[in-house]
Amino acid sequence: MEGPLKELGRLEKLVSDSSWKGKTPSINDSLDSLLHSLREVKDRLQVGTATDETLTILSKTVETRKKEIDDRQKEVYNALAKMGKALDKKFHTPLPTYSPLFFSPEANAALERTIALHFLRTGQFNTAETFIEESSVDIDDDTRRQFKKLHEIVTALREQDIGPALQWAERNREFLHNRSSPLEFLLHRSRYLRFLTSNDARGQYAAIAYAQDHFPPFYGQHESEIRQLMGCLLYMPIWRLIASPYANLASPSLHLDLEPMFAKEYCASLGMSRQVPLRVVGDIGGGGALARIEKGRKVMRERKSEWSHSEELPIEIPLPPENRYHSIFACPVSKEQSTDQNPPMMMGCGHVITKDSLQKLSKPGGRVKCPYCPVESQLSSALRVHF
Amino acid sequence: MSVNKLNTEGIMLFEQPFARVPYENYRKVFRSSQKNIEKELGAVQTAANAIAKRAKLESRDAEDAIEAVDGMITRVENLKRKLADLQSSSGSPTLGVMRERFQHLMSVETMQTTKDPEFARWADTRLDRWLVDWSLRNGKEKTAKMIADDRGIERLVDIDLFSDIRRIADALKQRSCAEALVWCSDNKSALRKVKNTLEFDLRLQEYIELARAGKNIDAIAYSKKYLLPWQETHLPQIRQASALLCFPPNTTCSPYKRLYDLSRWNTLIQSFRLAFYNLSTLPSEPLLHLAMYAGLASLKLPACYDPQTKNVDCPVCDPTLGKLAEEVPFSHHVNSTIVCRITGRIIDGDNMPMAFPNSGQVYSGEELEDMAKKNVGIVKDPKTGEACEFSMLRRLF
Repeated sequence: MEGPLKELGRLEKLVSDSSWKGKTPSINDSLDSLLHSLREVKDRLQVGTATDETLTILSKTVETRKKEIDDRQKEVYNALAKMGKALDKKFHTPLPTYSPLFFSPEANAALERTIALHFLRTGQFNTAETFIEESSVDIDDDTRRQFKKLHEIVTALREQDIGPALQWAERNREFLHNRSSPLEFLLHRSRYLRFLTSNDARGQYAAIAYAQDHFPPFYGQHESEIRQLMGCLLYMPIWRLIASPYANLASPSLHLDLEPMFAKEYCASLGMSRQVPLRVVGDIGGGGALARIEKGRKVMRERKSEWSHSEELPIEIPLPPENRYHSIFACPVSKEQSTDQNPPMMMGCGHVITKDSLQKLSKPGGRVKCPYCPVESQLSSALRVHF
Repeated sequence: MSVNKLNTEGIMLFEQPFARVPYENYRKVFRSSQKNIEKELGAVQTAANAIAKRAKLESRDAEDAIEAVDGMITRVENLKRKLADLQSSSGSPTLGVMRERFQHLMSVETMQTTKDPEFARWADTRLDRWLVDWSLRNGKEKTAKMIADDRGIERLVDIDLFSDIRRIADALKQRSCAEALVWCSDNKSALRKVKNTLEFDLRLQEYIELARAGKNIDAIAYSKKYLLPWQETHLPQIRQASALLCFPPNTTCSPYKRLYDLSRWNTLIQSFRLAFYNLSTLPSEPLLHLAMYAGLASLKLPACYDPQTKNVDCPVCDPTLGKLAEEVPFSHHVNSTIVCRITGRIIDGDNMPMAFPNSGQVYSGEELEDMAKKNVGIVKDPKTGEACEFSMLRRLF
């Protein structure tokens, strides 16, 4: 954005009132100067010392000042034009036009519901209320309460109060255990470390007392970590800890990370996704997917090939691992994605291709030779695999 | 990993309106200041020339001259004040908005990856902006204002722009073309540049309303004044409109019945909206829709609609978003990616996928190995319940 910002700087200088030494004086200066001339002439007329020439000179003065102002306006106009060009250069591709999306009443209702849930999920409760009033969406009380509670607990965490989070973790111990989540222990760890690293002289004693009260049940699962945590006692005060082998335990991110971790477990326990869905979709779409789709469409148009909107995108959009939610099997032979009608089949050698490819490769007698290794196997013994 | 690197070009595709709207606003301010300058200084110049000329022709009465100069002083003082007002109420704030927005865009250019915590905040703000844009376009102004206030993004969104649209669209709903015509005249040259004929359509509608009310003489006069200037491009429509006077409003004769149809007002509102968006470089669809279209299409797989393979984390598997995804194409893949249904992670590298011999269900080899260790060498398929010895599992390549 350097181009537009540079032009903006020039424009700001031009229109400011300060007597910056531009090519022309500022408009205010020109007007002031004109007023001065006018008032002078008026005085002279009132006193009686004005002559014909005075008025002729005045008329010329007006012309000069007007030209000054016009020139200044021209400079501003040029600066604006330059900025327009800089913007054109930066944003050379216009946004594509699509025929109305999500237009039907069902789609609109679904979208409104998505948005309402988004506000609730991200803790924007007032906005959610306003939106629910202004639209016709209906969110049941249960759901609202669950989100409110999540918000309360996360806010408490943010204010260094692990109490509510701990309560929830204790109540849902089994759930967390099944997911191998160390949440409960990490909450205690956070409290311990806060005692330890507080400026309070008695902090260390409080920390030890806390450890004695709460660490023992976790010794089985988290032995080495507890040892490390107790080892921190040797490296007090905090500046020594930062220089010690246990420096990572002094990092504030230990505490900050608890928020998303708690939200993830809480949402999972309610059967909700671990990421905020609207953010996920928006980030993918706004992070380059639309640009790629448009490029793909442009290429198709140039090649004059038809692309039916309702089937498949013409190009692949790369996704980072955290957005991979399903397995995709593309047949190494045909490059097509497997479907229910054309499922992936594993041959005797362990290589997998789609059913159609398998049938195409089959020889009379029901034998198939794998395209990757010299092994032959029976068509009928191929196993349909499910990813 | 290159997938996490920020695609600045892809991001900037959405940001053209964001950057251009304050720029166009400033140009309006400039045009307004130019009009004021021309008006006031033009008059001052005329007055000055006048008294200079008269001074040469006859002996001047000082009183008249003083009065003229006073007039000129007043005009110049007025101009000063008007320009100062314009600057403080519109000019400077608009420049401020431009600066804030340009810098906001610049900040994302310096970020490297999507994992940057800075980027997470920027993306949050972007979603907020999109929600404001969507709310305004759908008449939910209170929500829009609330988001803007709550998230502190008043200068990053264009609530005023949309209240203009709302005002004019409401007038059209009340069957009044007046506001829309004012807007057309304010934006005459821009509309002409894109060959937009909204003004003609509005004039035609006013003519039709005159015909509907039976005010035939007025209608003819109106047509002469406002429709005839468009005869170069719209002669057939003008002729048809003239013939309209022969038919009463409840006519069943086809083309004239359509002219009298009240749904033309709805079409007018749409045309107005589109013309407005076009001039402001706003897209015809909300930015949220465009982003969701692309995002959903990138994720949509047949597996999302199959109850057997539902993944609670997949946005498209969610029934509400899945409904929206029905309108978008499926994603396209030429490479395989296998995601283990137990761990939710991609199976790659040394971790070989392994299949149960009867059901053909495949999972990550490491997970199955762990399971076997904890369970005296027996593994159980989470989906079908099939149990077998670890050694019976078949390895995939």
